[in-house]
Amino acid sequence: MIYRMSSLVALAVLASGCVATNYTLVEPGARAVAGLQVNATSGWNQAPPMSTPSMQKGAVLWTHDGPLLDQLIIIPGVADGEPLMKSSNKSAAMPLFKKDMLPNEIEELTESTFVKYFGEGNAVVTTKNLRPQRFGENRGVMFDVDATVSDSPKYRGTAGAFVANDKLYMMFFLGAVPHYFDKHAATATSVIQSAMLTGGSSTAATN
Amino acid sequence: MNVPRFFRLPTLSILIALLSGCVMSSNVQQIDRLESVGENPRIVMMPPDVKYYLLTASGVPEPNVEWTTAARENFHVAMTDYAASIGTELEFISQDNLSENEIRYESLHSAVGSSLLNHHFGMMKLPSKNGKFDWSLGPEIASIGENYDADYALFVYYRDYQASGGRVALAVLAAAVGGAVATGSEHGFASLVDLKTGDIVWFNVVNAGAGELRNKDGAATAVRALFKDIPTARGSGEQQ
Amino acid sequence: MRQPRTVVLLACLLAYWPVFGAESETLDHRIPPGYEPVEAEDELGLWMEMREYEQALKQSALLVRDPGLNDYLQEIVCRVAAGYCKDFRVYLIRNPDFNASMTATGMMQVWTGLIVRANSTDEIAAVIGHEISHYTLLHSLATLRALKKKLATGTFVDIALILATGYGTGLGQTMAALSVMSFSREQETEADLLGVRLLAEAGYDPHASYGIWDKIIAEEEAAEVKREKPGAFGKTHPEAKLRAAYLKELVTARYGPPDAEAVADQRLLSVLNNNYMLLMEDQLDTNRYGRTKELLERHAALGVEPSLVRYFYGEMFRQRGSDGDRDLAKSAYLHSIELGKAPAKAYSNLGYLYLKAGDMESAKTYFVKYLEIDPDASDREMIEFYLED
Repeated sequence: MIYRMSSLVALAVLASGCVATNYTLVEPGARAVAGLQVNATSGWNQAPPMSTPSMQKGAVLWTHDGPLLDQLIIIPGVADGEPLMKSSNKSAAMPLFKKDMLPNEIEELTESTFVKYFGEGNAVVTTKNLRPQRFGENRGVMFDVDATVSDSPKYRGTAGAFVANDKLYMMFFLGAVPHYFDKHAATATSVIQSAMLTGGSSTAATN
Repeated sequence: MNVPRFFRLPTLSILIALLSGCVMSSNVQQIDRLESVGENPRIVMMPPDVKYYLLTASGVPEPNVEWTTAARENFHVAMTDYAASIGTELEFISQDNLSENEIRYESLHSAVGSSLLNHHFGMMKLPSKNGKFDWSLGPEIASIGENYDADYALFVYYRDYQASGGRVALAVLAAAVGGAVATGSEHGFASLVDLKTGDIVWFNVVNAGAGELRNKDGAATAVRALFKDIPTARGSGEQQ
Repeated sequence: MRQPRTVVLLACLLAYWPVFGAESETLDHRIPPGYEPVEAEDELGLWMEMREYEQALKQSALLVRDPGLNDYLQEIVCRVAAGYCKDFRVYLIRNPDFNASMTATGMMQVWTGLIVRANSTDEIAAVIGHEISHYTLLHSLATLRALKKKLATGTFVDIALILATGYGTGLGQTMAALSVMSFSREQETEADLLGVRLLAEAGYDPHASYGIWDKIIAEEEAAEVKREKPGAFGKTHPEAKLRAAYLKELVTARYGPPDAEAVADQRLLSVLNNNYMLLMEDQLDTNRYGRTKELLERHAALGVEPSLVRYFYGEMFRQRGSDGDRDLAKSAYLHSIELGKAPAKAYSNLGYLYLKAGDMESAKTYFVKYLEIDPDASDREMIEFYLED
């Protein structure tokens, strides 16, 4: 969980002195994120891996105002049988992607993953407005997200996903309500919709 | 049964404590003076989050009623005097009277405050900001301004952990074996929000030595420290 | 395999016997109704903190405000609490896990996961009676004091713990620390014993007190992903089996054997039926299909609206996705539809299943029906995409 730092970790950092954790600027324009290519708009900052322990290898988190307020997460190439996000908790029961998933199942996979991401029992997540979307030559989907989280502002979100070569490519944006979702939704959506496989030709969409 | 909520978002206390070692700057001032359509700028004071604890040898912070009550009462008085001295009118809202909308903004402000502490004052800078301070609660907060006929909203957070004798002894022991035990501290922040735009126009982080809220003079000092360089109705250069 | 287990259980029971042998007769409330602390500073401080926590809880985004559910719980609380009724406020929180908790100030939290797991109102009353007993037996304050004492006299190993639980602990974490480090084993047993008495005196079935634990054990056994018992939390709850055992002993000895199969609990059924979609959708989102299946079996036996139960069987099989589950899901949705009260998604999810099986015609049939039943469906665009194909 990105922003759930343990007290012990926090105190360890305190004890060890200051550690500059480097967010890096995302240059606008075509950007490669593992096997995916997206068109980054301006103003995004990429989080250092150390502050995103639940992310899969190759996945990135971008933000304008800090992850507590807005976050764009790109998860390229989740393999069959793998979860969208990792959990060190053995009893987490993270839902797993299956290569023959249809749009409704991808939506459910994401909803359940968000619940675990915010903390099981800490969040109620709903999804809606499932709709088809093309990502380059691949047919995929988009849908919207609403999350009510305890001790936190609400979050609204937009997600885009497609399956190619038996792998799931997922891009989603979450913004705090009020204000932060609205502030960045348009630009985040354009980044999501610009996603496509790198390397030109791709196999036909499987759904 | 349930996953223990032991490991959660670091509280603001921890963030501010972290900053005490790593802070570059602790104050941001966006505007020179307070503006208002009315005669005096009106500020609505969100329920101040002020708490006093006795930090016992065991490390369990005991919320202390007498101190917290005194602290809050003195804070109230000191704030009222201070607001007048900078030419503003201050209206206090109590937690019980918050509307759902106001609760939403309280929650958002905590998230924005934490983000500020991490990304502006702290080490996790966001390069695209380029040092710019442009965190806002958004213009829809104007509804609060209308509700209270106010120009600005003030948020205050303050924690004071007073070490007991036993705690100090433990600290000495711990130091002897190379460990470290925090002996007590006070810290807090104050932030001023323009209710027309939602922009945070002034933000101040306070660490040790801020003052003693439990007595009247100490409270006045603490309030001045908390509100260091806050824009006044008359503009900078005419501070208290 | 069984013999040694029984021996161990008996041995543990014997260890506990002094508690409920001697004390159970004399165990009684330790504070009067309307109690408020006057002198002790730490107690006053604890009350202040808890009052503020309650303020925050009232405004929590996950608070369930439905009057039907809240009235139901409030009635149970007042009946079990008897003279102490006015000392409690009960808050229903949307959390799919099984839990209830009580603070020193009479603030009770009940999670929706408890409601969805209950087989009878008596079981809910048993949990509430247990929590009420923690309050009247003054356990929170005792725990706070014991915790302080223990940490202060601990070795340097404890310093890390002190750092973690002490400095920088905000309200939420104090509460968390208190609930995690919560009551000792002795206190849990005391609350069980007094709770049983309150339950019986209020006219509820005392056998429900161990019934719950039997079901928790059954659920754990049915689960595909077992619970971890993280550190301190696991230590302060007596093993569910042990608890079920000693409660059964005690209740049977005092109140005789359980009645023949109870009649359907209409009040609980009504509450479950009216909130089933919310309760089960939250359960589904946990992705714990082994447990979901266990709960569905109980709901079916209880008599919860069969059309809804069938629908969620469909959802559960689909989520589990083992060999043959797709067909089981299909049958479940079809059955739900047949029973007349299927939610709209039964149709669309059936459509997707046919799509997967390559049966385009059936898929379209159900997609069309879905849009007829729910013309405002938010995923219309997605469904129409398949209809145009």
